[in-house]
Parts: sequence; structure tokens; C-alpha cells
Amino acid sequence: MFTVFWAQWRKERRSPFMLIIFLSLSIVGTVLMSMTTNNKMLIDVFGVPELTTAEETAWIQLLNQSEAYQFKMRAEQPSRDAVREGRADVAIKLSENNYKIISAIESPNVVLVEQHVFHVFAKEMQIREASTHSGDENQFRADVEHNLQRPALTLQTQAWDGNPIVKYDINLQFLFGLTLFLVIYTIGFKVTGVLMEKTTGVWNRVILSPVRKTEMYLGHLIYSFLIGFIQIIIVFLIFHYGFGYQLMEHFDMILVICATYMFTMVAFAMLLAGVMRTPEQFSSLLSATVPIMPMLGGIYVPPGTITNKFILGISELFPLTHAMKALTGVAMFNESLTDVAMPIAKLLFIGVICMGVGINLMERRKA
Amino acid sequence: MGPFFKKDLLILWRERYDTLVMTIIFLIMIIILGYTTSSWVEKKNESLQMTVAIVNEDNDPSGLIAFKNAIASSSLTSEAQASLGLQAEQRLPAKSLIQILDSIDFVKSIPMDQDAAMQALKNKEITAMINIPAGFTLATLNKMLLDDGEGGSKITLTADQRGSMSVDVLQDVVNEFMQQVNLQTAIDHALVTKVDQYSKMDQTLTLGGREQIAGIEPLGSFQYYTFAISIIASLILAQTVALKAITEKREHVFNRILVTGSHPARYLFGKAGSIFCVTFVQFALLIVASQFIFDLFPNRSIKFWFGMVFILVLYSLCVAALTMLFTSLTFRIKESAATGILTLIIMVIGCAGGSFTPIYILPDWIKYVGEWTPNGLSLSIFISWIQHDNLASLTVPFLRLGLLCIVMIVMSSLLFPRRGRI
Repeated sequence: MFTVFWAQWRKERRSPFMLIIFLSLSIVGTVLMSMTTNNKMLIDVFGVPELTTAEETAWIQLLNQSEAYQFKMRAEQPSRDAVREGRADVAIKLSENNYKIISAIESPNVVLVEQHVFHVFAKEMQIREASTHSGDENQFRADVEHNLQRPALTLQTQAWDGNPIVKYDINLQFLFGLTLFLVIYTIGFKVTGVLMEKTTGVWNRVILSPVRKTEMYLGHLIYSFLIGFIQIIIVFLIFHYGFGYQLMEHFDMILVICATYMFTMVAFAMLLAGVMRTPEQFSSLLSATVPIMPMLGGIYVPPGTITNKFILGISELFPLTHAMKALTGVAMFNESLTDVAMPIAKLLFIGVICMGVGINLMERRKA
Repeated sequence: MGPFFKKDLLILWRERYDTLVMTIIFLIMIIILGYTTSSWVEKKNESLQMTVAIVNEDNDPSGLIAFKNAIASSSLTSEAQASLGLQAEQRLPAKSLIQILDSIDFVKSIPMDQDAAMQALKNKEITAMINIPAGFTLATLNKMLLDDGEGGSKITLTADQRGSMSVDVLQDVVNEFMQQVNLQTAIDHALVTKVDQYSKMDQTLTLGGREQIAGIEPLGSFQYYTFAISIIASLILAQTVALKAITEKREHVFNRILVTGSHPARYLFGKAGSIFCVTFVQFALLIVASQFIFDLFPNRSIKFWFGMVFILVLYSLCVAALTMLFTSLTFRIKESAATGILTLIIMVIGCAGGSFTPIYILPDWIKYVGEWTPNGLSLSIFISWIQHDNLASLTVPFLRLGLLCIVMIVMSSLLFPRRGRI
């Protein structure tokens, strides 16, 4: 087993560029795609010509007092084009004492942005209107601010066990999702090694050697497993130390889940390899099937968005879905190993089935 | 070029079932993705649908009576007392909150008692529970109208410990209501002289509003996914064809071609020609199938369809150029690395161009780069054609696409091995 493993390693060491390119691109890709502009949704704002720059800046400042959105001045035409071509959900047109929401589609985002902007405007307009009745505008504003320190109503939110409600961190979801998604390509790339050896005839020659079949498979698969695992660890370390994501608290659990996921994905790649004859066919099939997984698994949308039973059923088949469930559970909701036992068990189950069928298919065909 | 074109077509024809099965898989993807997203984008708030239990431990009328009694025994003039009493009746906080909740079409509020609500919450029958404490009305009215006491009547919102979008939205709604009340209170007390003339409603009624972009049909999710997925399909087709070149290299087909004295470029253009045809056919099939299944573009003019064919031809050219580039690459790099490199390229342009990942999660500059990938650029051209029906406004993107094609063709001919260097 180790001979096969070290053979892979030695091959890699002789020409490491491919692996390095692969790893660095996937890592850079994950990092770049996960750090979406300070985690804030960027919204274009433009004013009607009559509006002075000072007024525009004042509104932008008020609008930007938000955790979820970042408003930015932009010229009218590009803002409208962005909305029209679907690159942005909304843009905002400022006019004197009023605004308009520019949108082309109806989405939850548009509704949320509209609420925020309305709120900011309503508040400011009300203060402005009232301040005309007060003698000293600055004093009035200070008084209002002071009074707001002692509000008439306050809201307390809590979970039913009395603890605070955990705010769902969609960026963490993107990070996990993209990491798990892009690593599939790396694994696929390594698992093709088996097919490659078969097409070049190396496989047959190794069969003649004293190395057992199981060891040959294990050597290859463990190698692929490790490469993928290293990639995931590097990505998580970068995010922990470089971008302030708090992953260390549950790092052991995250590693366990990732290792399980890696095993399942290696098995899945093995299944694809079993179905296909040449490394080339394998890559096309991989490229075609992999992008579907995160889409149906709901990686790109807030949880609970996909309600369709059929889709939920299909996404149960994908390892990605279960790994995500376990990872978000552990990292966001402090779940223990027993809480995530179910997704992990499902992962293992899928892995065992895929591995069994995959190797069977591969052995049945003449090598 | 003729014989090579025929050879590549025949190779693809040999695997027609594989290609067909792939195409059907993509069609299923369009159906699934279109169906999912249409159910949450087009029927907007369905996924936010929620039931909220209101646990009202306070009694509005008795709170109001207590407040009126309190002002009656105060030293205020009877005129002021009447005005305050009227205001109190109009601005009963608990009643206003429930009214606001009921006015939102995706929120359903039901009165419950504490235990029942807690049980329902644990059983996930309700999204959240809102507790209005005893004495709430009196305390709040005192604070709102008389600036009496430190205020701080507290409403409690209880939900499942895992936050969700519904809870966030509900929290926003309640918060907004409270801030409105708090602001009004703060302003009232900040004004030295009480002025009743200004009316807050006039201002807010005219605020905001939507401006749907003129002349634009909102893009349906089926329309979007038909094109997004078909583009993925052809990218993968391009990869498949280029990877066949590896087999041809491995089995020395290419060397044999060279021995016949044919110019190697003819081999390259043969590949481009065949992929051009296959992409065109596959893409057209997917569009036509979608048209019949979900009536993709109802009542569009014949001009629209001609434009579509024209864009499709350009797109197929672009995929052909991409395949040429891929093929040249496979001849330049080691066989073992070629598969990986191509997968990598597909992965990168697929992600950046928004074919594999939705564009909205990408940072701005990647979106910008994505507009220069063949897939991203083509998708935006298709979308604007669907929405505008105006070829003139597409001149610049067309030029870009053309430029991209030329760059890819030039690169592939530079990369392609010269005679005697294979």
C-alpha cells in the first residue's frame, strides 16, 4: 500500500507544477469568491441632476449606517445597466427629499433593501420636518438623539431556551460551500490517476507485482484523500488567521467532518471513474455533474429558501449537502458530535455505496 | 479541412447517445433549477411565510383607562387632557403592532397563551412568539405622551435558537415599528413648544416607491437557466472534444495525419468546424425543448428569433475558438497534465463567468473579469437580447465577443505545434 502511495508522491515531486497550480488556484479561488466586499451587499446610488454632491453624500452617510448594505455613488447609466443586466438587484435614485428603488426583478433582497432605505428616509424626513418647528436645529437634533437613548419601546430577542438567537452567518456558509465544492475538482484530478495508469498499462504491470489489489486502490485513494484534505485545511487556516473567521474553536470537529466528506468524495470520484473508460471522459462527466451539487444543495441561498420537496430529495443524494449541514451545525450552532452524527452517518453511507459500486464497475471491465 | 471536419463529426456521432444523454441531463437541470428559483423569486415571499403567536399578557382597554385616570387626576388643563386621551386611543402600542403584523401578507398572527405558544414553538408550528408584558400599555403611553419614567417597556420575541430568514425579517418589522414609535416620542419631547401642525404621515406617504426599468421584461428564471445551463453544456462539450485530441495524440492519430502531408492547421480547423455545428445543434435543441416545455418566450416576433439565431451563431463560433485553444493546449502540455489543465480552465471561467456560481456572491472585480470570459459575456448578450430586443445596443458586446474569438484563435495558432515540432 505504501509503495503505491509513495510512488504517487514521487511522481508528484518530480513534476509538482500541476498539483501546485491546482491547489493554489482552488485555494485562491475559494478565498477570492468567499470574501465578497466586506461581507456587505453593495448597492449603487445615483442622484437626479438637481441634487448637490453635498446632499448626496449626506444621504449616503445615513444609508450606510447599516450592517448589511454598503451604498456607493455611481453614475446613473452604469447603475441602471447593472440592474437591467441582472448584475445587481437594486439601485437607488435619490431626488430632493425622496428616492426611488430601481429594480428589474422581485427578490427577497429587493424587499429588504427597500425596507432599510424607507426607514432611513422616513426617519430623516421626520426629523427635518419637525426641526423646522424648533428654534435651534442643532440643539433639536441633539435633544432627539438624547431622547432616543431612553426609548419608549425595546425589543428583546431570545431563543426558547433563553439563550440569544444565533444569527445565521451566510458568509460562513459560502466559505464552507465553496471550499467543499472546489476541492471536488482536486480530488477528481487525483483520482484520474487510476484511470491514467489503466490506459497507459502501468496498472497491469503493478498487478503482476506482489502488491495486492486492495493495496493498489488504497494507495491511490489515500493519496487523493490526503491532497484534498490538505487543501481544505489550508483554506480554513487562511480564513482563520487571515480573515478573522472563528474556526479554531471547533477545529477538531471540522476536521472530522471534512475527513468524512473527503472519503465520500473520493468514493464518489471512484464511482464516476468506474462508469467512464478514459480519464478524458471522466473529466467531462465530473465537470458536468459537480456544478449541480452546490446549486441544488442550496449553497448559494439562505437556508430554508429551497422548499421544493423534490429538490430537497435529490440534494440528499449529494455528499456536499450533508457535509454542509454538519459543518454549519458545528461552526455556527456549537453542535456536538452526537448532533451531527446523522449527517456524518449519511456521508459514510454514501461513501461506502459509491466506493463499492465504483470499484466493482472498475474491476468488472477489462483493465 | 473537409475530411477532418467529417472525422470529428463522425467521432461525435459515434458517441451520439452519450451526448444526447448529457443534453437530457442538462434539460432536467434547467427544469429543476428554473422550477426551484421561480418558486422563490417569482412568488416572492412564499419562503418567508410564517405564523407568529402573540402572547398578550396586558389588557389594552384597561391600560388605556388607567392612563386616562392618571391624566384626569393630574394638573393638566381639561383641553390638554382630552387631546392626550385622544392621542392615547389612536396610538395604542400593542394594537398598532398587531395591526402592522397583520398588514404584511406573509405574516399570520394568532393570539395564544404562554404555554401553548412555547409548545407550538418547540414543535416548530410557529416561527416566533411575541410577548407583550403586563402593564405594557400604561407604561408605554406614559413614556410616549408624558415622558414619564425611564420608559423601556420591553417586548420579547422568542424563536428557535437557529436564526432563520423569517425570524430576521420579523425582527426587522418589529424593530422598525418600535423605532418609529421611539423616534416620534423623541421628537415630541424634544420640541420645546408642542406643535401639532406637522403631520408625519404626509411625508412618509409620498416617500419611495419602485421604478421598474422601462421597457424591460423581468427575466424569468426558466429563461435565465435555459441560457446559463446551455452555456455550461457547451463549455463541457468543448472540453470533451478537446480531450479527444489527447486520445488522438496518445494513439498517434495526429502523427499519421502529418505523414499524409496535410497541414496541421486543417486538423485544428476540422475540430473547430465540428464543434461549431454540434454546439449550435445542442444549444438550439435545448432552447427549442425549453420553448415547448415551458413556453419560454411567448409571443415573440420573428425578428426576435432571427436575432437569437444570429447570437447563437456568434456564440458557437466562440465555443469553436475556445475548442481550438483547448486542442492546441493539449498538444503543448504533457498528456497527464492536459486533463487537469482543461478542467481547471473550465472551472475558472465557469466560476468567474457566473456559470457555476451565481454572480451575486462574487466580488465586483471578479464580476468584471467574468464579463470577459466567453461564457459570461455570451450570457449577458443573450439576456440583454431577451430583454431589449435591440441589436444596436449590443454592438459593443458583439465587438468584445468577436475580439475574444480572434484572441483565442490567434493564441491557439501560436500555441499549436509547428511542422516537425510535434
